Formats: sequence, C-alpha cells, structure tokens
Amino acid sequence: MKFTNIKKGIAALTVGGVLFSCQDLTEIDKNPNSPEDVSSNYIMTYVLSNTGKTFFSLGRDGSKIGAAMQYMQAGTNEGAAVINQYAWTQESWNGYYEILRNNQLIYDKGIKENNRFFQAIALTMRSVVFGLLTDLYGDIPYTESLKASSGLFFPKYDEQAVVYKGIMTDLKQAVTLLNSLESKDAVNPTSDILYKGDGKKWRKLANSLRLRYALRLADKRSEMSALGVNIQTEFTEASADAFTSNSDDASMAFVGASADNSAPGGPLNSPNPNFLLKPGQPFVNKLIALNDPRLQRWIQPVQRKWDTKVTKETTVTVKNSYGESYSVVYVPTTATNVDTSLYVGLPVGLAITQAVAYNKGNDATAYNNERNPYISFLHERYRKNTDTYVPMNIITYSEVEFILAEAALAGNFGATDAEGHYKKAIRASMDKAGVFTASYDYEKYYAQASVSYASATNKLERIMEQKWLSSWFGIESWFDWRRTGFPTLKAGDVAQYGKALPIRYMYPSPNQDPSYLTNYNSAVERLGSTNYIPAGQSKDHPYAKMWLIQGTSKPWN
Amino acid sequence: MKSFYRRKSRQQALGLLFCCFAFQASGQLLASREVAGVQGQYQKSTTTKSLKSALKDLQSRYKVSFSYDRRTVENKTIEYGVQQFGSLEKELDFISSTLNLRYEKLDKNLYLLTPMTKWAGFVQEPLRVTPPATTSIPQVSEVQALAPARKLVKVIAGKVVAKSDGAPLPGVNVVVKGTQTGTISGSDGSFSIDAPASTSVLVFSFIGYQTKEVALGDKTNLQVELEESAIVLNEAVVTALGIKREKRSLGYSVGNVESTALTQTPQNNVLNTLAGKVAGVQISQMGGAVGSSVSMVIRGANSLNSDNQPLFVIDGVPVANRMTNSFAGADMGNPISDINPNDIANISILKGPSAAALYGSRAGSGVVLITTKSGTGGKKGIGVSLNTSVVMDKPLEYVRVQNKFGSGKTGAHVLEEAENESWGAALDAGENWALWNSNGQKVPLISYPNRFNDFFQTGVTNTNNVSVNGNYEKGNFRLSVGNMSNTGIIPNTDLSRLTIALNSAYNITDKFRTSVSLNVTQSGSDNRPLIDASRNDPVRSVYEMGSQVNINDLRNYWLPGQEGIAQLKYKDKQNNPFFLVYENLTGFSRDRTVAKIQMDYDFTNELTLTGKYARDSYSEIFEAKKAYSNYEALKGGYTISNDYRKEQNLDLMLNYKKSFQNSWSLNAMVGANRLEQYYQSLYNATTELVIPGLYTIANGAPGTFNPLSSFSRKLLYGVYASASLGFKDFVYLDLTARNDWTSTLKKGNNSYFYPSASLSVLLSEVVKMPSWVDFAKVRAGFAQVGNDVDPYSRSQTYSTALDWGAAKRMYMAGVLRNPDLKPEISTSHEIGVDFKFFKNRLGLEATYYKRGNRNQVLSIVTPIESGASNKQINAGLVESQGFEIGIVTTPVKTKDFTWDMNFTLTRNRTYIRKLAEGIKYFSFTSYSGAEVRTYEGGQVGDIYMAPMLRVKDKASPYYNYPIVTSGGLYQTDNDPNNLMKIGNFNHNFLMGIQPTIRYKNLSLFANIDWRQGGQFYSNTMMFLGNNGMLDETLSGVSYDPSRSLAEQIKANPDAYLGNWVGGRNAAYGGFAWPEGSAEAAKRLQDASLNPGVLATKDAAGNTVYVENLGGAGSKWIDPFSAYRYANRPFPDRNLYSATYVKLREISVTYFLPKSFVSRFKVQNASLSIVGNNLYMWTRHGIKGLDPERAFRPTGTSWSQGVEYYNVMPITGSVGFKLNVDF
Repeated sequence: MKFTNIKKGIAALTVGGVLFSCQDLTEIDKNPNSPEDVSSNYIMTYVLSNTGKTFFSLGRDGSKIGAAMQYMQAGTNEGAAVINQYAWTQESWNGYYEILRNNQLIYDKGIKENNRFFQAIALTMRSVVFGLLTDLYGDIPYTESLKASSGLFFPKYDEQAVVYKGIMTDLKQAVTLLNSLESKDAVNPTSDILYKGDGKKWRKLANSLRLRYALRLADKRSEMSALGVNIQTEFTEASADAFTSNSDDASMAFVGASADNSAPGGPLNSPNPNFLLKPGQPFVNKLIALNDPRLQRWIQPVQRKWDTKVTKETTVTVKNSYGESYSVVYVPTTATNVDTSLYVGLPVGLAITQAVAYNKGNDATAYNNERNPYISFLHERYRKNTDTYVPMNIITYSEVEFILAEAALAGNFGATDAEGHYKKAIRASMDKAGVFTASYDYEKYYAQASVSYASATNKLERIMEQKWLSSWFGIESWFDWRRTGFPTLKAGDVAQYGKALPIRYMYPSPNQDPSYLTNYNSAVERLGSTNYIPAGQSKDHPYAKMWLIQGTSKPWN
Repeated sequence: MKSFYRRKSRQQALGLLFCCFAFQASGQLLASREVAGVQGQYQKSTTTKSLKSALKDLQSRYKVSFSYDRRTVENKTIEYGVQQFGSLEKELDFISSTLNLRYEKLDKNLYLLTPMTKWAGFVQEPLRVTPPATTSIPQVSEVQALAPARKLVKVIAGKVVAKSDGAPLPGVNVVVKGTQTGTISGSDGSFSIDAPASTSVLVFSFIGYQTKEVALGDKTNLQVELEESAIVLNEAVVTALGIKREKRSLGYSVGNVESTALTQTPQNNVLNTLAGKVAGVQISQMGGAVGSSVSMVIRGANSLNSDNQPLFVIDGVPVANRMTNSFAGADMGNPISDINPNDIANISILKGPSAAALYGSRAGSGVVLITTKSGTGGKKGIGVSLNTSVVMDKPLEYVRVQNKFGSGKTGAHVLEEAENESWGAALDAGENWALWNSNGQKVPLISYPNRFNDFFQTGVTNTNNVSVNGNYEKGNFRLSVGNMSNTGIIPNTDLSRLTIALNSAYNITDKFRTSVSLNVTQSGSDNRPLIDASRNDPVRSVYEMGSQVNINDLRNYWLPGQEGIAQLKYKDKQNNPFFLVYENLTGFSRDRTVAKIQMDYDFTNELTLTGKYARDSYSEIFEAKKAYSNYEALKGGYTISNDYRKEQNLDLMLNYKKSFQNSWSLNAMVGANRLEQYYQSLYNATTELVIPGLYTIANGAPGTFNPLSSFSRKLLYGVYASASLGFKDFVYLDLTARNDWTSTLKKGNNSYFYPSASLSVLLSEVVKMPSWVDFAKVRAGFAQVGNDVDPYSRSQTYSTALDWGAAKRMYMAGVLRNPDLKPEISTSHEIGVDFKFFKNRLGLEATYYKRGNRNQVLSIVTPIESGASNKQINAGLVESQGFEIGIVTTPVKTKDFTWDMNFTLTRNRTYIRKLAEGIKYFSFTSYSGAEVRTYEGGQVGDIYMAPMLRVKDKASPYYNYPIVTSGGLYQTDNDPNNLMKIGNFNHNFLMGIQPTIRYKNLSLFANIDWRQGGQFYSNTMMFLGNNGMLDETLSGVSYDPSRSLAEQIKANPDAYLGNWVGGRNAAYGGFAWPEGSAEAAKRLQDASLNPGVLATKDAAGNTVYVENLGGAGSKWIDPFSAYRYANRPFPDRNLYSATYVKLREISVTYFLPKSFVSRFKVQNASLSIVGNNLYMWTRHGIKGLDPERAFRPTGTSWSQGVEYYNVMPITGSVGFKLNVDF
C-alpha cells in the first residue's frame, strides 16, 4: 500500500506543481491600460483646451463675473441671489491646479528632453493660469505648490507680489527660449490647438501677457521694483513683439462633437436650453446708445415688444444687419414704466420676485420665468455647441491695443499714440465680432462723441468703457475695473453685502488639516478688511481687498 | 459527545454527527453523561486495550464513527492477538462476538454498538438490520424461549419519538432495567423486544436525549417520547476552508444561520435574509426597489478605502461581490444576489480575522461561507422538493407633500407651471389659470393629491424552485432549478433570475473521493428603476410635480404626431415620469458560473490530500437608452458596457489528524493556494442618436462616441498551515499561519506573513458549575491578516481624455501613487464567552473585539494645489472596537407549544488613531454642506457643517442673534475654524429580535430589527422643503399678529432666530409688504423674514447692529427666500435621527399533517403566509423617509450618512409560499 500511495502522491504533487508553476509576479502588475509616459503633445492639447474652457466658463458659464460686470444677469434662477446680488461663496480652484499639474509635466519633460519649445509653452501656460488664480483670489499657493511628489502637501500661500514676480520672470524666460528655437524643438501642429506649432505666435503671446501683467501692476511698480522687477522696462521690451492682428489671438474654437469639447450653453451640455442668463441692462443700453453693431451679434430682440404706436398686437418681422430675421410681437402700451426698446436687458440686482416679472407691464399671462418674452435672450449662438463668434479667448489683439492705449495715456511705459491704439482696439474687437462682413462704416461709429477718444473728458474712462464692451463675456474687464474703477458700475437694488461690486473670489473650502489651516489663516490675515464684510465674518470674503489694490482707493473705498 | 439534534431529520443529523467525528478525532461518544455507570462484569486486563481505544482506532483507520451508550463500552477490554482482519466488518465481528455486543450500520459511516440482548446465557441471533417495513402494531404474545432453559418472555413493541416534534428516533437503546437485555429502535423508531415476563421497567437511552425509564405495567405496546438532553448539544459550524468544526472548540465567534431561517420569507437577495439575525453584522438595503444592492458590514467599517464588504465563499469557491453595482444611475443589485436562497443549506459568518485568517488578503472584512444543499443527508434514493411563492409589494408610505399651493417660485399670487418649485398659486381656492394642457383657457385650479398612488403600482415577485436529490451508496447529488421574476412598483421595471445548481459527490474508491459543484445563474432586467436623483429618476419626477398637474394626463407620454421624437411634458424642467419608465430603459444581464472540482485521497487514515479547483466567472452587460427629447439628452443616447470577471483558485492541502491516547487530539493541515483574478471591460457610448429609437452604437452621431476598454490581472500565491490541538475535550488551541506572495506589490514588499491563534476553554468541564449552568466556555483569539492592493495601484500613469477634434488628449490624474506600497496588516483581538443555562432554555454568546488596521493603503484627500488631489498613503492606524451578544431562549415549551426567542445585539465604533506623518484628517464625503470627515483621534462617521453667522460679541444685547445680509438673508459663517459637528452616522447599537412560536402544526416567525441612534442628512427633505412641497413651507414660526413681532422674538429668541417668520399669504401668516413698496401693489400678503440683525459700521468703524426683527427698516423677503435661507445652507436643519424599528419579516406556516400528505406520497408539505417590512417606526417620524437608505451613490461607490432622493415609496409585502417534499 505504502509504495503505490507514495507514487500517487508524487504524481499529484507534480500535477500541482505544474498548475502552480510560478510566473514572475512583478511582470504581471504592468498596467496594460495606461501608459507611464506619453508625448508632451497630448498633454499640451489637454492643457490648452482646458485652459480655454476655464477662461470661457469664468466669463460666461459661471456668470458671477459676467453679472458683476453687468454683461448679464441670471433671470430667475434660485441662484440669482448669488449671481445678481453678489452673495458669492467659496470657489473651487481644482480645475486650475489640475491644469497646472499637467502643465508642469510638460515643462519637466521639456527640460529632460531638452525641448525649448515645450519649456516655453509650459512657462507661458503656467503664467496664464497662475496669473488667473492670483487675479481671482489674491495670495495663492505658488512657490511651494505642485510639489506633492516631493512630499510637500500643504504649500504656503505666497504673497501676491511674489506670484506676479514669478509670472513676469517666467514669461520673460519663455520669450528667451522662443527666440532660440531650433528645428529639433518641435511640437506637433495638430496638438497645438492654439498656434499650430508656430513659435513666433507663442512669442507674441508671451509678450502680450507681459503687457497685461505689467499694466496690472502699474500701481504697485515700486513694490515690484523692490522685488527686482521693473515693470516699465518689461512693458517696453514686450511691446516690441506683441500681438499685431486678430490672427494672433490666443483664441480657440469649441469642437462641438461631445459634451467635453463643446460650449457650455450648447445642447450637449445644456439639453434644456439655458434661457436663464439675460443680458444686463447697463450693457445693452450702452450698446444701444453707441449704436454699436456688436449688439446684434450678441443679443436677440425681445419676443414681445411694448410699443406705443401699434393699437393691437402686431407681429413684425425684424431683420438685423447680419440678415437674421426675428418675429417680434409688438404689444400696444401707454405705460411709462415699461421698456419699449427692441433690445431689453435685465436691470442688475433686482429682488428675485421683481426680476421674474420685469417688463411684463400689465400682461397677466404666466410665462415661463426663464423665458419672459419682454426681456431679450442672448443670441442663439450661445445655445449652440460651437459657433464662430463664440471662441475661448485667453488674450486678444484687441486687448493688447487697449493696453497700449492705456499705457500711452499713462506715460512711462514706452508707448505712444493712445488714440491710435484705442481706435485699433475697438476695430479689432468689431472685426472679431464679424461686424465688417456687412460693409460697415467704422469711421462713422468712431466719430460719435460718445466713442471717439478726442471727445472724451476722461480719457481713461473712455478707454476702459470700450475695453469693457470689447471684453463681452470675458473676465479681463473685472480685473481692469477693480484696478481703475472704470467703467462706473453701480450695484443694483439688492446687493447682499451692500451697494458695491465684489472684488475677489473667496478661497475654496480649505483643507481641514491644521497644517493647511495655518497657511490659509495667514493668507486670510493678509487680506484687507472693508466695511462690506459683515462684522464677525471671516476676511476670506468677496469684499476683501487683495494686495494688488490695497492702499489704493480702487475700485471703491 | 453530543450532537446537534434539533428538529432535523435524523438522517441529516447523523450526517452532521459524522462530520464532527471526521474532524474531531477525540472520537469520544458519550451518551447520557449523568447516568451513573453500571458496574461491568468483566475483569480488567492490563495487557489488552480498552474497548474504547479499540473503537477509536477503528474510527481513525476506517473513517467511521460509532454510536453507543457509555455503559456499553465502559470497563470493557478486548484482546487483540495475531488475528488478521481484512475489513472493518471482520474486526467488528471479532469484537462483538468477544464482548457480546451487536453492531448495526446506521449510515454510510456510522455504526451503532449495543449490548447483545442476553438472557440466561442464551445468545440471540443479531437483530435484523432493517426494522420491519410493516407498520402493523406488534401483538402481545407469550412465546416460548428457546431451549434449554425455557422461560416465559413477553414481546414488548412500540415506537420511540422525539418529544419536541414527534419525529421517530432510530437507534435508541432499549434495555430491560437491571439486565443487559436490550435492543435498538429501527429507522422508523419502532422496536420490539423479547423481555422476561417479569420485566417491569424499560430504559430508553439515546445520544442527545434524556434517558427515560418506562414502567410497563400491563402494557406491551409503548409509545415513548424522549426529551432532548439538557446537556449542551454540539453544533457543528463551517469554518475557514470549509472545515466543519464543533462550535465548542472554537476560540472565536462564528455566526451560523441555517436554511430554515433564510427562507422564512422569500427574499431575492440572500443578504436581506440575514438582517438582524447575526450579532455583529449590519445589513443595509441601499435602495427601496426589489433587487437593490445590499451592504453587509461585519464588525463595523474598518477600512477607509474599500467598501468593507466581506469575502463570500460558496462551497469553497470565493465569489466576487461588491457593495454596489450601479450603472447609469440604476442600481443593478450586487452580484451576491445571484445565489438562490433556496439552494443554501447554511451560512457561516466568520466575523473576525481570527476566524478568517486562512483566507488571507481578502478576509479583512470577514468571510461569509455559504454551503449549498447537497444530496447527502437526504433519504436513500431520489427525493424531490418543490416550493413556490408569490409576494405582492405594495407601496405603503410616501413622504407627505402639501397639496395647497401649485407650481411657481414667485409667490402665491402667480401660477408658474414651468417651475419645479411649488411656491405658486393657491389650489382649490377658486382661482382660474391657464394650464399646460388647457389650450390657453383659464380653468379652475384644483389639486390632484393622488399622484403617488396613480403612478406607483403593486409589485409582484414570483419564486419557484424544484430540486431533485439522490443519495446512493457511492455518491450523491442535488440538482436544483429556481426562477424568480419580479415586476416593480415603478411601472415597467422588472428583475428576473434563473438558477441551476448541481452538487454531486462520488467515491471512486474508499480512499478516493470526488465532488463537483456547478452553479449557473442568469439574472437580468429590461429596466431597473433609477435612483440617482437626476432628472432621469422617475421618483424625483413625481416628487417635483406640481399638485395642480393630473399625472394621469401624462400617461400617453408622446406628443401626438411626434411619437418617438418628443415627449409630452407639463414643464420643460422635468421629464414625464411615464416617458422615463417606458422609453428610457436601463437594463442589465448577468451570466454567471460558479464551479468547483475537488478530489480527496486518503493515503492513510491520518493523512489526506485534497486538491481543489474553483472558478467564479461572470459576464455582465449593462445598457442605458435615452430616448429623443429626454431632458438630459435631447437627441437621445445609448450606452452599452460589457464586463467580464473571472477568479480562479487552485488549492492543494494535506491533512493530518491523530489522537493520542485519551487526552490529546491533533488536526494539522498544510496547503498552498494560487489565486488569479482577471477583469476585462468594454464600454461604448454615444451621446446623440441619428435615427430616433434605434439603440445601437453605430447609430451614434459622428464624434459623439466614447469607447473605453480595460484589462486587469492579479496573481497571488499563498501557503498556509493550521493546527488544532485538543486536550481532553475541554481545551482547544488553534494556530494558523499564512504567507502570501502577490503580484500587486513590488518585490521585497510582496511577501507577507500573518499568524493567528485562538483558545477555547470549556469551564463547565473543568469547574463544577451550579446545576442550572449547562455549559460555560471562555474563548480568546488573536489574529493578523495581511492585505495587498488592487492591480496597477502603484504606477503613476496617464489617462486619455476625449479627443479634441483631431487632437488626442492625455493627462495625469490627481492621485499621487506610491510605488513602494507595503501590505496592510490588520490585527484583531477578541474575547468571548458562551453559556447555556436552564437545560438549554437560555443560551448566551458574547464577544468583545478590538481590531486595528495598520499600514492601511488610503487615498487621502490632499489640497489640489499641492499637485495631487489624493495621495496614496500606506500608514495610519484605524481601530474598531465593539461587542456583540447573541441570546437564544425558549421561554415556553410544552408538548404542543414552543416559544423561542432570538436576540442579537451589536455595537461598533471605529476611530482613526493615526494617519500619515503630518496629515491630521480624513474626508469621506461632502454633500450640500454636510461634510463627513474624521480628524486624527476622532470617530468615523462624524458629520460637520459651517454654522450660521451669529453675533459673537457677548457684551452685545444681540449676542448669538443671526447676522443677516443687507438683503435680509441668513448667511454662513465662513471661517473654517468655526466648523461644527452636528452628528454621526453610526448607530449606538443594532438589535435583532426573532420570535418563533409553534403550536402543533402551526408556526409563526417574525424578524424585528431595531437600530438605535445615529443621524443622517436628508438632501431630499432639503429639496422638498426648498421646492415648497412640505407642510412646513406653508408658514414660518407662528406669532401673534396683534403684538410687535420684535418683542415676541426678543421674548423667545430660540423659537424665532434662525428660522423664518411669515407665510404664503395672510391666512398662513404672511405679513403685509411695507406701504409704497413695489411688492405691496403686486403681491399677496406674503412678506416674510429671516429675523436677526444687520451688522454695519459707523463712521468711527465700530460695529453697529441694526435689528431685522420686523420693525421699520426690516428686510422683508418672499417666503421662498425666507424658507430657503433658513434651511438650505444649514444641513443640521435636515439632519434626522437614524433610529428605527422594522418588522422585516413575518411568516405563518402550516405544516400539513403527515397522515394527510402521505396519501399523496408526499413526505412534508407546508403552506406559509409571509410578509416583509409590514411595519416601520422611525424616531424622526417622517413618513416615507427610511433611515436605512442614507447612502448616496458616488460614482462607483456609496457614501454613508447622506440620503438624496432615495425615497422610493416604502413598500410592504405580503404573499404566500408553498413547500412540498416528495
């Protein structure tokens, strides 16, 4: 018995051994689904597209800044108190640092692979996004940020001056790198959805951004100088090689094929078309007052227009200068408290109950609150997945011309001919809005006393007003207004923290780790308190002043 | 050793008994311990071995067991010479003839040993092995005894049955008192004995039963009832690797649930049947629909990065399960629901690592061992069992909504049907409005309060099961086919399951045994209810319907003439609920095969080699269709996903068992395991269809595709060993050790070792206990379990984003990986006691445990600006501690009436003792301002929120008054340093109560589940309030309009401050708007207030508080805003007690009398009326809001403590169940 059993046992063990035959365990854990290294080109597309979407969303989709700049109001949304009445709350910055993390990978690989083009692109985009962050929030984690892989999880919040200094330095470095590109320093044109691999345009972008930030720091030139940054020199140097035409714009189009690459208002992202966002009355009225042709690109006529001439409801086909037709019902009225314009914006900061019924006059019909036919809708193109006139702008040629105009006005920046730049700036904006496709007489527009540089008593206000109009759906006007106080914008009837416009984004809900809170608390401590912050409330508030405007009386006291 | 003999068929019990013996080599079979031994008549011989040890030897050599009365073998010795025995029978013949014993083969491996009926030197022929088939009552007769000494004998006949249930008892010793004369009862319990005429008393004895003496008197025909022995019955439980052990020998707590407790009421997910029945186990149904996922957490959630679900092992096959299985917002039910509860013989729950250590890595959250029914234990030959049930699910409770005001958010002066809110015009108040379907005509505005009843329907679940078992000399099998089909309470939703199970065993030779089991399951649904709180969720659609809408007008859900293109809607912001359920289908189908082949070979009686191959594989197809005009997909959409999972386990085990003399027993085992997991997934989606209603990927519009594919594979080798050492039946020591080598950790870290030890001491065997203590045991266990990580966890890789036109996009996700991850080590300690009192009428099991998870691999949230959103850490210590108590009692027991009560009590607390270096807190989830987070040293489950901004200056008369904004709204205190804790989602304790009452053929069973304490945040209630649906939205805090409001507030600040004051119109407490205001002219009297103070500054910069208490200058707001800002930002307003009591199951069963059913060749038949969830009491008292559903799906997982539109109506079920065994 014993012997045969042993034989069987050996057989069994052999079979078992075969089945168990050890494979190299470490080989098995190689991820077959995701690569550990990829070409920077693919990461670049990700960084560029997401940066574009971020800028676009801040202006249009989030609509807080758009509402503050009175481009628009939320009609009746339950969040109208937040948007129209400035009850702003914490704003996440996840998206920005998500971009920055990936952008850093491009930079690190650019160094490793000695590709100057990628280094320069990464430095430029780093400046774009960090610049945006500090413009929005003030002090931000900067020098110690993006170092998680070295074990630094709770970066300190750097003082804003340090961030701006870093931006100026990085941009300058980007220009230097771009000036010395060799053929090996290539990027894939398909992946470069901004400039198709054109190094010259990237250089112009970096210089244009230097102009933007130099001017932003105009009131802080001595502080910056103390940090070793002479902003006038920077400005002068950069202005020599900045944007010179609309084709230089750092501007991207939505693809429009899937939700992720489409405009936020299109059916892929908003299947229920968003009629909630209304054009703001001050903005609409300004365009009307200036006979501005961009109005019709951006805004639709009302569906029901109060009219003092008709005696009964009359349907009129209204055709705009771009050949678009609208069917508008003219409704007779004798009332004085209704807006009889063809284009009607919603006044800012109305009580929600009044915003709902705005301009309904004596029409007792219960309309869909969001589609009140007596208020204009935004143009149909803002409810499309993609449209030629709905690009994602990071910075435009028009903005650069406005910057040059302002710098020339201010002096000391090496720029001259304020009026010439001013005129080109408006023209560029109109061109981008497609105004000139309809044999438009720009000179006639410009000659108006309300437009021309010469007829303005306050030149800066004139420049900033037009820059505000050109910045439609952009966020740059908010930063400009905060710095200059122009255009003069008034808070509406109801503003949750008093009659002033908010001046910064609140920090995101902070990480609750004590180490993190120490950093956060000291950043909050550095914010300037104002009378609009309720007693007992944290200084991390939309009405707190960041370093950039501390010590200035801008935009309000 | 006594066996576990409760209300089971004899055969089954004997089978179990055998199992005990096979693995418990002590082999001592003592009956009736309390009966004093009878002095034997044989001389002791010091040169021969005792009969007892001889039998033990036979037991181990032939793998058989013996049943005998102690007196039969006591003090007997047997002299083994040079005889050669070829078989067990020959050896037994030798022994029995030498010692005047008689043996009978009762079962395959069980022999009964009885004294030979002996009288006056005359040796009878051995009794017939099979008792007479005839049921005729033996006649009283006097017979002549055989020569030479003729004496009068009388034949006494009769039947022995169990007192508890009247079942016949085979194998009972029947002895004439004071003699060696005796016999045993046959398989039907009948016996016949030729006794001396002078016999006056017969003694009946049987293992597990009290010995009974029956005075004969004149009777010659006896019906004898034996009562179960008060001495503790030994339960055999299934432990790790399927090893059956006596419960008394275990040093750790094992929960054991028998099939009868699992099938009291029909349940489609076996986990539901466990609720409340096992101490230390928390079962939570994630959703309200039949077939929704069920979570099972054993001894508290201890892992911060997994779903804490235990490992499920079906007949030795580890099977995949997840806590959730959601797809496109629908809950597909977790995969463990694939098992048919009717196929389960027993569920054994290994609660702690002590019990589960041999399973290694995955045993950290406990192990659930499911043993399915097999052919053994059935009667010889073929048996057939049928059962069928029909259960109706009736919606019982909805969250109560108001029907007094219609849609709108501007106020009661206007109806705005386009809005989701119901802050609009008064209903049934004589107002006329143009409605969505009145063609512009103004019609009377009336309410339709029955929308819930009109939409939801009665669900029906039908379950059928047929099983055939066969039991033969060399093998057995059981084949079972079951099907379950359900129609849900939401129209057009369903669920079905078809199971085929085959369990077979065959003995090729006496030494070579094989068994094969196969479970095939096909489950699926054409449409599952969505519970994702999106606009595809029909429940949300119904809840957000204005009460002025008649839901029946929406039944024809296409716009006339636009069928297939455009749905009929009453407003743009929601989908028609009928359109959702009939045209937007989200279904699944899952095909699953669980298979096992096992071979055992006995080298010797001590040494056995076992090889086992086990495989669980399933492929799952998910499909989500979105029809044209869907709110979230205007041009429709289609998603299909195909997942395939496979796990294969190969085990080789060598078993050695041996007993040494009378004192020691050893059962040792070494084994090796190879585990391979494989996963493959293909996913494709299009977000726009070209042809409406054609659901194929090819029909997707260009550029709208999102195809994904992935594979993963993991390999693990393990070697393990265990030893169980027993000493004299009262001390048991178990040791296990295992080492794993995993593919998912790097070389150097990928090998990890973990041991366990447990000790059990039977105090009642050591110390003299009071008579009312039948059994006392103390136990203690220590164990470690190591764990690895998921495949590819360590490598930092790039992901692909959707294409940007022609450009490919890739990115690095935010999780910072750690390539040097080490294995996790979970260490547990437990101590416990088991008692039995009062002749087993009261049993108590209590365990205290403490468990620490060290080196836990956690994905900890890091500030995104650090460059990582999460960091994978491999540190920390998470500790849980708790206790569990199980009580089994029988308060009343008479011949016809028995009342049993089962209690389970569970409490667990988990703490984060330490995180990684420099990291002090861990965030679980955050929803609408309710943040579930834990700081180092804190308890898991704490819920925090930012408080309302209030006056902090104690010197101010307005101290603690809310500070309102310039617009008159309450605001949040934004300082993160002021966050406050508002609750914790853990229950203080869970208690399960299961009474069982039997009266004759009737039995009543109930399962009551009581969960005490804890809180949850209801986002549903927040939204229903925000949307003006709740009664509390009609008016604010009441006040006396004839007095100054400010004075009333100052007199009673707690009642007013932080709440809203006002109402929808004058009748509901609304204030008049200030004269001259725009509102005064237009609106009803509905001015409302968030009372508090405004904080402004004077010229000198000092803070000045201005009252906003209703006096002049107060900021009046509309009731919607007033309610909203007093509630929505502050989760404590919608934080509810999680205390509840549920009557989960109730059943009344009638067992048809045997005399009746036997006419139809039926062995057993029973009919039950069953009910599920017929009653629920909640502490919060809000109808329709079930604290058990405070889970919210978060991507692929669930977060606890938050509930959001998980308010499928609470259903009660009633039905009936029929069981027939042939």
